[in-house]
Order: sequence, then structure tokens, then C-alpha cells
Amino acid sequence: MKALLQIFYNEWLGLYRNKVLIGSFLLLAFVLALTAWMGVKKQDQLTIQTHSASNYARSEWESIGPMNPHSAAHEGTYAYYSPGLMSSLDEGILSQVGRVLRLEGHVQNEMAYSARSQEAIYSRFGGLMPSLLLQWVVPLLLIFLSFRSIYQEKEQGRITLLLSQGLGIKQILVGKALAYFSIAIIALLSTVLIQFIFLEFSQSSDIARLVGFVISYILFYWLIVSLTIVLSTVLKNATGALSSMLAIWVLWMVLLPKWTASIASEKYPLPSRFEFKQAMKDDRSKGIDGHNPSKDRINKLRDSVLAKYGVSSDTALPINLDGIVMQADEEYGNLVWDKHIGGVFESFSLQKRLSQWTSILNPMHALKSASMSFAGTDMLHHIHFQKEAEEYRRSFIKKLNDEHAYGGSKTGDWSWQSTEEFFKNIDPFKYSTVEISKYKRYWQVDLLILLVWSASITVLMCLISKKHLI
Amino acid sequence: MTLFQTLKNESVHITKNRFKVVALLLFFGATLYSVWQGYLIYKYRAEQILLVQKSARESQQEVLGWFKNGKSGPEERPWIDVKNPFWAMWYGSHYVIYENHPLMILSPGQVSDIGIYKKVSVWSTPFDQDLIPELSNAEFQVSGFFDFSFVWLFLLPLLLIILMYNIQSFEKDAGLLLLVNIQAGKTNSWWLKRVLVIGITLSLWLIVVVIVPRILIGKSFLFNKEWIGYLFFSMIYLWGWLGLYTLILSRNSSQVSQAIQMITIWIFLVLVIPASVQQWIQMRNPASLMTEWQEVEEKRDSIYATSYDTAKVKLLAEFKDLSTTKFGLLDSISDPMKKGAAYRTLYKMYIDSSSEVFLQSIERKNQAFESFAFINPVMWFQNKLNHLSNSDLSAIIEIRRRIRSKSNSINKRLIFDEWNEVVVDSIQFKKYLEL
Repeated sequence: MKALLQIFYNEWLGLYRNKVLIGSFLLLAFVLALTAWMGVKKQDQLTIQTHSASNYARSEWESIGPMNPHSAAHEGTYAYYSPGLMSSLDEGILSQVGRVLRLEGHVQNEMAYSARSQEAIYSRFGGLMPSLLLQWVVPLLLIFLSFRSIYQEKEQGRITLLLSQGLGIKQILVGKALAYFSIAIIALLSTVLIQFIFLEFSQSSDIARLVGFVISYILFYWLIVSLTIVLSTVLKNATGALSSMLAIWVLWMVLLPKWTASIASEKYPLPSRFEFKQAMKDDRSKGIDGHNPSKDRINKLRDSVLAKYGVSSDTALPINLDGIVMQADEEYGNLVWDKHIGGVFESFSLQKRLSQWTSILNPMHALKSASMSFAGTDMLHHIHFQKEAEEYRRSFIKKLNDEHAYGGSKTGDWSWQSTEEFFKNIDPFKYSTVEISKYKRYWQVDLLILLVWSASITVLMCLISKKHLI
Repeated sequence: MTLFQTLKNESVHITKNRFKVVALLLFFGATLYSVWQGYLIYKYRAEQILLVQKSARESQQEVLGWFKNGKSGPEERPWIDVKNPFWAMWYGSHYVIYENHPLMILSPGQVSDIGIYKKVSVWSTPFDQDLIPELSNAEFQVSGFFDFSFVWLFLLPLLLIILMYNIQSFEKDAGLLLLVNIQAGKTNSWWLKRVLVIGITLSLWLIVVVIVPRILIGKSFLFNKEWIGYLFFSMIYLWGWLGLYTLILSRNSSQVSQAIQMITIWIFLVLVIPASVQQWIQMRNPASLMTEWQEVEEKRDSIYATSYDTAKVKLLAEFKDLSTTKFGLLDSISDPMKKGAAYRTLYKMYIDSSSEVFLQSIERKNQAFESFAFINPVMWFQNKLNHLSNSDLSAIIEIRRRIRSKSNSINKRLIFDEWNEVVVDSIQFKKYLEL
């Protein structure tokens, strides 16, 4: 143990003596502090912005005045997506997708006004979030710090000297790996700690997410350091170790994710927007089975309502048939939506599942997936919000249609108005981030893959050491 | 040592180092793959555009069929009469469609962040909720497409690090500099020629790759100014990085030190500075949740509540010739449809001026980005290449402006025809289609 600590200390001392490295560390420390500060500020801003927009939409709804319920359904309201506190660590897909969802009658809108549609491309890899540094910069730094660590010892003949002093080969490798690993851990924990203090994580669900986040990065950093040490041990020169690690890094960070995306998109294709709209339109007008056109459906419903009330004409009904027809159409529209958007959501889940299994070749993908999942900014969390908002829309529109049908108006009377009080009594949409346990079958796979990779490379490091160093 | 001799020596040096060979081959493969990916995106967009155009033509033919057969509209909607200008225009299937630029194969850019087509009616605005992108898995789009501009702007500097980090420093670490001095004359000119060899090789590769889109789509855009501009800026970018790394090499440090300095510069120029600029701008001007736009839309009730006399005065101030129309000559109108047309036009005028304010605010926000160009050169090049490919933010703003303009044309034509009680026939309908 003492020998291990000695190697660890010597390695740190070596790093400390290199002025360029010290400069790089200081720069990294500055950027990390800046990132943490910006992450906290942005999260505060996001929360205020979402609350203010939600309050505005609600106040507009409450001041709608006396109005026909169907007109109110057309007025609609808005739902705004506010991810949890953890999004300050990894913004995931937030810039790509919109955060505004208009909720109205007849139609299920999609989330609109993404940040990317309002701005030039300022950065290809997103804003200065901790995830950017932790996923891109820290691994690169680890590679550049450690790619010569063993080769240098071999080149200068110090390995024999260290062995003659009674140190074991495994101790030398693990000691060096731990020294570089500790740098990454300091960067990770200090970033997380700053966020933890300033963002006041208090809910156990947030803390559970934070722990999962930290574990996934710890596993990945150990993997990167030990893999670089292995290459530095095995390969005959430092260029080989550096080029190989850089090639692996580019492969993991850039190429494999894109190939994975291509394969997943091909295996589980999504319809084009045009096909999607056309299919929705057809199903709504011709019927999901193609043999139940809307006109027939309406006639059938009309006959059953007339029979129920024992009258022969719409005007003789004590209720408003229009409201019943609207709700029936709405429910039919919901079935169509469930079929089509449900299919799209299913494809997203299958694509995610497939791309997750490719993490067997690309642990970086597992890290990214776990990071977004714990931060609550992946596709699954986004879909969860959309489903919740749609559930709300359905009950919201049903209340309006029921008011239209049974609130006191007669069929064909479009001038009838509900009171402002009625509209005010409809509950607003409320959303809180889903529990992380809901998606455990996804992030457990990511963590498992990272664990297997880290353990395998550690075993490899111990196995190959003798052969290549003596 | 002549340049040719250096070229020969450097070629031997690279080919003897299998890691450099693999890195070069990987890079060449990645550039070709990225161009192919760009081509697939181009082809997909072109197919979608054709589908939309075909569907629009079919709808228009259906309406012309109604005129021919004396029908007023679809059977299941008896209230529709296409002889009425409003319904004729409604069924006109007017579309605004993005123009696919051939250079988009190299830089698909950010146009995919909104819809590439939109059906436009009198009620359309540049910020409608249906102007949304194609269905795609956002997790796959986090860092954009794997396009040529990505490979060139972000991966090229990494390749240069692998090729250059041990130039001179290897000889220095191995104590061979003196030997080099004896064999090659001046050390500085020796390693500068080595850098030059790398630059020339990659410049030639760039020219080859940029020609590929022309071969793929079989169109001649080889010598137009956008293509030359694309090549020019890509070339400048390459030589800019070479220059930067050459400065590091001139400091004559060790291999590790040179490698660390190079990667630190890459990290800052490619990751940290762009990300800081984005974060800074987003904090100062957060992406809008468009509540301001809701306020604009909610102005409708107050516009519709103004007296007809006031509304007419405002309307005639904008469209003077309306006073000579059949209903413009009347002091009051009893027909609710004609009255409604007046309020609709006023509301549209208000929406129109507000949307321009919004578009200008987006432009202003992005002018702030331009001011960071000096410290954020990589993203400046990214947006420059996207601009030449008509796939940058200005292309998005252009689509929004075209929606605004088309909807305005429809609106203007409608109020005149509605107030003149025009009865639409197939000839008139065809004129509507030209709007």
C-alpha cells in the first residue's frame, strides 16, 4: 500500500513540475468554475422563465370571460416543459426540442420553438455545461496526461530501477492510473459539489439522480485512464499510444454514435412528417380500419343519442348534440393519435434500446445515455412530459365538451356561453419530473456496460503487465 | 534539402508509422462517409419536397375538377363554396418550400430545426406551431449531422495534432537535432517544409472531396461563387490551424508538451469558447417561450371589438384602392362575412408588423453572435459554410419571411376580391395559385 502511495505521490510530483500541465490545470479549474456558475445561473433563469410563462398562460385562461365552451377549446392553453435541477449538469436534448406545447381541441400539437430554431449555431456541442467538460475535455486531458506514462519509464529504463526497489508491476501501473484518475475525480466532484450547494438539491429523487450521475462518470474515467495505461504499456512508442487513444476517442465520441444512429434509424424507421400527417388525416376521416368514415360515425352516434332521449330530431333534445359529437370526435382523434404518435414513441424507445446495446462496443455511448438519463434530459423524459400533457389535454377538452353538451345549451346554439367561473375551476396543468426508478431498465444497462468495461480493462492491465514490462 | 526531398522523406516518415497511416485513412474515410451522409439528407429533402409539390398539384386539380363539374366543394362539407374567394383561396394549397442547395450535401446546417415546407393560408404566421422539423430522435441529433463541415472543422485539427505533434520534438527528445542540422541545413526550414507537405496533401484532398457532390447530383455548380467561396473558406481554415500549430512547433518543446499545447488549443477553440459564447448569449437572451407571440395573437379580440368605422379608416389608410371597391364605397356593411373580412385584414396587418419585429429581434440576437467571431473563429467558419450552403439561421429566417409574405399576398388579394364580390371561376382560381 505504501509503495502504491509512493508511486501515486511521485506521479503527482511529476505533474506538478511540468509548467505546461500546471497551466492547463489552472485553465481547466477556471473553466470548471465558470461552467458551474453558468449552469447554476441558467437553471435559475430556466425555472423563472417557465414559471412566468405558465403563470401568463394560466392568467390568460382565467381571464377568458364568458365564452362558448367550444370556442374556449379553440382558444386552448399552453404547457411548458421545465426539466428538473439536474438539467444544470447535462442539458441533453433540451436545445433540440421545443419546450412549448399548445393544448387545444381537435388537434394534438407537437412541442415547438426549440432554441436551435431561434439561434445560429453558436456551438456544435451545446452550451458550456458540466457535461461538455466532463464528457469531452476531461477524458481528452486524461489521455494526454497518461499516454507516455509507462512508455517514458520503459524508454528511460526506470522500470527496472523501480522493480529493483521492491515495487510490483501491478503496483506501478495501478499507482500511476490512480494518480491520473484522481485528477478526473477532483474535477468531477468539485463540479457536482458546486451545483449541489448552489442549486439546493434537497429532494431524495434529485440526490439519487446525482449519485447515479457521479457513479457513471467514475466508472468511465477509470476506464479511460486504465485503457491509456494499457496502450502505453503494450505499444512500442508514445505516438502509437496517443494516436490509438485519439482514434478510439474519435470513434467513441463521433463515429460510432453516428453509425449507431444510422443503424437504429434504419432498423426502426420513423415516418416522414408528410406521411405522418397524411396517415393521421386519413385515419381520422376514413376511420382507423379504413371502413368507418367520420360521416357514418357521426350519424350512428346521432341516432343512438336520439334513441336514448326518445326524440326524433336534434332540436328536440334536452342537451346539445354538438358537444357530444365534438367529444366523440375528440375520442376518435385520441385513438388515432395513440396509434400514430404511440408508434413514433415506440420507435424512439426501440431505437434507444438498440443504441444502448451498441454500448458494448462504445462505452462512451453508455456514459452519455446514463448522464442524460440521470439529468432527466433524454428522450424518455421528454416523451413522459408529452404524454402527461396529452393526458391533461384530454381531460381539459372533455370538461369543455361536457359543458357544451350538458351545460344548458341546445343543439345548434353556438351563441351560448359558459361563465368565467366555470373556466377558472378547470385545474391548471402541473408537471414534476418523473422518478428516476421509472427508467431503471434503461440506465441499469448503461451502468452495467460501464462496469463491465472498467472491470475488463483493469483485469487486462494486470494480465499484460508482466509480458510487456519485463 | 529541397521541398521534393522533404516531401519524399515526410511520406516515408508517415507511411512507416502505421498509426499515422491509420489516422489519415480514418480521416479520409470519414470525409467520404460524411459527404455520403450529406447526400442522403439532400436526397431525402428533395423527395419530401417532390411529395409535397405532387400533393399540392393533386389538391389543385381536384378543385379545378369541382369548377369543371359545377360542384362547389367536397360533398361532406356542404357549407364550402369555392366560388367564394375565401374558400377558393383556402383550397389553393399554397406552400412555402425550402430551396435545397447542392452545397447542402457538404453542410446540411440547421434548416432541419424547422419544417422545410409549410402550407400557407390567410391565417398563417411565421411562428405557427406546425412549422416543426421532421420526426427524428433528438438524442441522435445532439451534435448535429455527421456532415463534411463537421469533419473538416472539428476532426481535421485533431488529425493535424497526430501528424504534427512530434515534428522536431521527436528529434529533440532523441537528441538528433544536430544530425538533422548537418543533413538538412537549417532546422527551421526543414520542419517548416514538413508542415508544408502536410498542408499541401490535405489541400489536395479538400479539392477532391468538394467536387464529390457535383458527381453525386450531376449538376454543374462547380465554378459558381458559392462553391469557390466554400473551397476558399475551407482552405483558409486548414491553413489557419496549420499556422497555429506551427507557432507551437516553433517553441521547440518536448513531444508531450507540444501535444498538450495543441490539444489545449483545440479544446478551447472547438469546445470551450463556442460553448461559453452560446451559454453567454443564451443567458443574456434566453430562447423564447414565445409568450410575447401569444400576447400578439390575443390582441385579436380587441381588434374585432373596434367599431366598423374605425376599422374601415385604418383599413383604407393601408389599402387606399379599397375605397373604390363595391363595399369600400358603402358607409356601412350589413353582410357579416364582408365585415369579418375587414377585421381579419386588420388583424393580419397587426400580426404582420409584429412578426417582423420578432424576426428582427432574432436577427439582432444573432448579430451579438457575430461580434464574438474574433474569439470564436471555428463557429464563425461553421456558420459561414452553412450560409454558403443556404442552411444557416438566415435560411430559417428567410423561410419565415416567405411565409409572412405569401400569407400577406393572399390576405391582400382576398380583401379586394371579397369586397368586390368576385365570383371565382377556374381562370380566377389559377391566378390565385400564382400568388
